[in-house]
Amino acid sequence: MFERFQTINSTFPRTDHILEYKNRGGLVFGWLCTYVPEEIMHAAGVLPIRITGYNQETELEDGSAYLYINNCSFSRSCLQMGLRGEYEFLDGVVGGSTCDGARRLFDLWRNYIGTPFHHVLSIPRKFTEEAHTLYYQQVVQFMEHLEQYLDIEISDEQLLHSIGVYNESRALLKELYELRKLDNPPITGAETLEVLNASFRMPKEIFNQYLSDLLRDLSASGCTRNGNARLMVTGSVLTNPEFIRSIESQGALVVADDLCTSTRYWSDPVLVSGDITPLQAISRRYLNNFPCARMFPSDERFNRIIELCRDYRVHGVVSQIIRYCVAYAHDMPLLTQRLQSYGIPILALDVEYGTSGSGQIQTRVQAFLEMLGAKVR
Amino acid sequence: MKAVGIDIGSLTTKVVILDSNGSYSFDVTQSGDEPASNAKAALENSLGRPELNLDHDFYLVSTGMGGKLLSFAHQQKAVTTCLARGINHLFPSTRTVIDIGAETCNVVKVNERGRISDWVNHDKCAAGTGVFLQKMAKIMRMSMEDMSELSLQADSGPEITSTCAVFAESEVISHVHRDPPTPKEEIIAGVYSSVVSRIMTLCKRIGIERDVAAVGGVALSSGMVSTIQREIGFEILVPEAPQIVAALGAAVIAKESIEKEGNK
Repeated sequence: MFERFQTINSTFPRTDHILEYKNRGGLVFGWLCTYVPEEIMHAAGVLPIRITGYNQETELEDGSAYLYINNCSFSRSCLQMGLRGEYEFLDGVVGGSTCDGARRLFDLWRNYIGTPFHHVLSIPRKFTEEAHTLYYQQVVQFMEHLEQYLDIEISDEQLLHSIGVYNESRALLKELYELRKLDNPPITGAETLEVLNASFRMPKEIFNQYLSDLLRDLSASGCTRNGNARLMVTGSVLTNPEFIRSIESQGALVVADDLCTSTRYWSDPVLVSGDITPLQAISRRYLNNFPCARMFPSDERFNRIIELCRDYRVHGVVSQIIRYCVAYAHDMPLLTQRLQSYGIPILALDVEYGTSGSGQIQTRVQAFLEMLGAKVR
Repeated sequence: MKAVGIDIGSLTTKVVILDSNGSYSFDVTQSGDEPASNAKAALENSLGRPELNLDHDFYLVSTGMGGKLLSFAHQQKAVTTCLARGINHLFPSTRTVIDIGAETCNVVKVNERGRISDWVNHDKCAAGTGVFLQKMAKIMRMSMEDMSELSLQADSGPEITSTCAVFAESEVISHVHRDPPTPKEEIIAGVYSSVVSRIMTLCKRIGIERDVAAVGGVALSSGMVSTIQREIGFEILVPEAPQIVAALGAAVIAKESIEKEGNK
């Protein structure tokens, strides 16, 4: 059932879909952070794909040659892939000033990788009306830059169509996640991440088709997954399903997450209404989306994490924070307190981007699960 | 049926046999380069029989870094779980366990039933562990025992600021070669303080709750124990054989499993 998704992830970035899109004369843009509105690129006829780093933990000689090591291994891993020409086919790159790691990665990308179009959006850290006004201006500027560069005009109808395609994708992913709330979900956490990875690496229309097929197959198969504890994964950007697999190999089942590659990517739809323009609707959604740890106040994020823990009946939370991922590391004590006040234990892991779960991590997970087991008894 | 706990550490393997009345015997051997077969030999040696009937003679729970290598173990448990259970068997009043092994350092909070309520372990290096002390003993050209004795003779020592074992080594060497050289006992006191300060960081992260017990091979050193006490500000509990506590905890779990199966 998952082969199609796995094929995309194992061949990324040179997947058949992307190459085909290029061969037909289409433009492919890479984006760097979930605060970059994809619908605008889609409406311009561009295929937006997410720039990610190597699928596993690797030596980052090239990445570390340009970025000092106190930049996270995610930014260095992405940069190294770029420097080695893996993203050569990109016609544009769009970043956001979300954190220093992402911002410096964008600067170096612009300087050394030579992707023709580049744009970076300033992204406020608050949810106030002033912040929304500022972000909306950024979104408008991005669209104008794109229109000017491609010499086109993006109409409201095109935007609405793209919103429709992306909202459909979000609704389907929500359906998939509903299944994870079951006592015995038909899908593991590792498999879910495999699906999510593919979601931002291919044309959305095709992905939506694949996902509809998967949902149909899952309900037909009647397959169930069990675990001795229901876990949630939180923290920095995570794309390697092996990491989740290594947690699940210890006997647990990962049923929820608040990752920017998973729940934070799809959770909020763009709400279109008669009172605002489609572009305003997009702008609202992207700033109000399930927040990254960079956003303030942190309570917005914490409340939603607690909500997830309840909805998915989570026994414990595993936090994986990439070294130097400051936003998440600084929120950690507060999040721990909040979770503890609800009686939810948290296991904090320091990782490097791409880790597949070393022996050290497995030992810690095992101890955590034994602790959870003792609590349940 | 005997309850057996075995803790395969990175340096030594500990076997504990627990009787139904709660008394126990133990054996400590080198883990060597083939920990699994060495562990089996240690087990046969401890039970006093060359050929074991693996199914009927005993119930075995393994733990430690090499715990997964024992294919014939009935259960394999995380070392933190075993530490909690082991210390509860020895000193039920313990709420915080400081475990310093050859290559690991754990601080475990234990409840009154011997279950973990929280724990932290140190990062991925030798700092604050037994091998760090071994390395320092080598530079100072003395045994671990002599080093422990000498440390008691100095009230304070130079600050060893590097937490990295390799950098700390060069710091110590520069003290040895200073003119006039820093007295040996003071250097050692400095080394001990640096290890303890790493451990105290872990303790503070998790919160210290009395009683506190020190276990693991490093707790055999009276110099280390007194340095911890000075830093922590009160007396800590140290078992007679601190290095076997995890293996003992594994044996306790084995005993409980035997009893549970007997009740079925």
